[in-house]
Amino acid sequence: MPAVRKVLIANRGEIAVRIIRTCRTMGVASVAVYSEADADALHVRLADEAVAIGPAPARESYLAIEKLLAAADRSRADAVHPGYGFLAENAGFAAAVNDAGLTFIGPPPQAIATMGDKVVARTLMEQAGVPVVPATAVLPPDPAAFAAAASTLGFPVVIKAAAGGGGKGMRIVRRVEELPEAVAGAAREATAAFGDGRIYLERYLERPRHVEVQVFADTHGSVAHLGERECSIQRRHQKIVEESPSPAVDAALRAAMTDAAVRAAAAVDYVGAGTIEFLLDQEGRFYFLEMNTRLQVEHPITEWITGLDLVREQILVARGARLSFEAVTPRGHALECRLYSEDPAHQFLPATGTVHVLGEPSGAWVRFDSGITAGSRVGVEYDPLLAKISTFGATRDEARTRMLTALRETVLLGVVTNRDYLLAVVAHPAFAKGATHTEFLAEHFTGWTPPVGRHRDTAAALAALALGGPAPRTDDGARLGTTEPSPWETLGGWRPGTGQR
Amino acid sequence: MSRKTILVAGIPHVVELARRGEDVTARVDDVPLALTVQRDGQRWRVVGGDRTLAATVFRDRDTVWIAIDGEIHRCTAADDARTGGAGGGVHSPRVTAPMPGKVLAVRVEVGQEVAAGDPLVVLEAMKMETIVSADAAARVSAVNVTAGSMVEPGQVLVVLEFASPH
Repeated sequence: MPAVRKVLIANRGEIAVRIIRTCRTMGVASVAVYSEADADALHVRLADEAVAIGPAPARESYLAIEKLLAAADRSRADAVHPGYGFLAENAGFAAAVNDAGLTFIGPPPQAIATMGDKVVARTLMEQAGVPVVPATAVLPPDPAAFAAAASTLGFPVVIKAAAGGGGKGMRIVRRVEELPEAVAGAAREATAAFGDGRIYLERYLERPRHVEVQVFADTHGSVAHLGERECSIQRRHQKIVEESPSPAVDAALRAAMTDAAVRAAAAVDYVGAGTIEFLLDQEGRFYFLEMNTRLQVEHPITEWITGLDLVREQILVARGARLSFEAVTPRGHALECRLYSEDPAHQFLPATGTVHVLGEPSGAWVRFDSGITAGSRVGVEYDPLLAKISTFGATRDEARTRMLTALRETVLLGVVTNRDYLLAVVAHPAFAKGATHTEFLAEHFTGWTPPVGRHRDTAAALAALALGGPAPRTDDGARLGTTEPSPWETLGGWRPGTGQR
Repeated sequence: MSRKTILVAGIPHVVELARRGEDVTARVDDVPLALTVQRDGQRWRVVGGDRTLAATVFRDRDTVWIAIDGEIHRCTAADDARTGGAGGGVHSPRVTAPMPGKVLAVRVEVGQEVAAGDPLVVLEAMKMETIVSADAAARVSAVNVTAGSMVEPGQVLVVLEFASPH
């Protein structure tokens, strides 16, 4: 039976921080890994030990399996937690960890591989009696093949990556003329994101809700569920607001969905924490979308309503323990908002910079998961998720009101974030009513501009005052603040007298 | 009284400012504003009328970030050349990168005619693709990047020459 006394966390950012904290509560030692871009990062500072694993680009650090295994070996870790993203759903990594004699805190490689291939997964789910959305097998990246398939399925359709997840390689297509660019783009994006360019076509459901079920399985054959989460509020297929329970799921539907989810997990001999994602249509029919064979970004809302620490449960299952719960009765309501470094007023383009000031929300039933501190650099190398704000309440409206307060308290200066956008979403009357679906943002928030606020005039005056003073020094000591940079500054990079460049 | 144009969320505001000690008399777009401002590093105490607000102010070159009463305002000094003249409704002939990232593909060549919405350059950052397309029908007069180039926000990717209006 594996001990799991020292865990290497093959990840960064808020999830690495979150895993380290649970390790500490369990008396388990933690080992952080970091790229050159993350040497001063919070997860590195919090872990018991940290190992450098290479340059900033992920494929040379957080995705470099041999470097991670070497780091585990060097630090004498006996287990590896992959977090989410990066290698979390890479069956080869899970197998390599196991082959190195370490415990992979996650499902068996075979379960990852099966669910990771969306086409294989679909077939298996159909066999297990789990409803699926009509779709094709993998198609050659040829617009004609896709056009033929689309006419059979009926528009709108969605192109998806067989190895996909997180919206990467996905393209919604409403008209046949859009297919050539969409097919080429999806294949390219899939290759870039997953190293696997295979794509297929699926019927696109209009305005469905995204509802997923958290499952947990142990190595003794028990599979349990921890209720559902609704994650319909998505931009570019990326979730930004999540909640549990779903306002659209009643007891009968919950029983049907959680049953199907447990069957789905059992069908792949699943072990550990996993999530079965469904689309729920307006008639209350649900369809298997995919299984995420890892901890989800939005797992804190399940923790709020169940009182469990899911990372702790993962570690216990990895040690071979039986599930510590059989049936949990969730109570209350939880919301989560994802704070991203992106500009919602400009197509959600990624924003970069330095976090100069960070005000974190707190108070009763408020949780702030983040991997940043004041001084953190936000670069282009990694996912733009900065932090997650989650709140709990006896009712949905109580949790929602707390979220509005918590978001207003979340102050990050130096990097453009989606905070004001999140505030507007959570305050929106349709959201307040629970009338959410995956087109919610497209319908209600297209052309959104930042709020004027009550104090914009005061802010303009204060800015003029701040700009009137002497120019502040930047980190590298250069004198800045002139409107017209001098050629000596723009040239940059020279250090006279040291012979270095 | 000093006079500056300050962009708040990209919208220009004309700020006239006079200061005597902590007392600030301002006109923002001709609306008068009287404030007392006590500054202690990034922590500013702002008294306006009978209300006192705590503000956090951070200046980063030409940009001032202000957190006040739960609001966050990103303010930028604008030179008058940028805000005064050419703005509103005219398509920019210089197509710039909207975000930092890598050029995946360049879809046009110098001399090529493009229609509104035609893709010019495909960018990638954080594993997401963004297609930069033409605002209006034009002829490509310069292409400044190649596939594989790393670009900064605002960097000119392609220069267009718009057909003269009839």
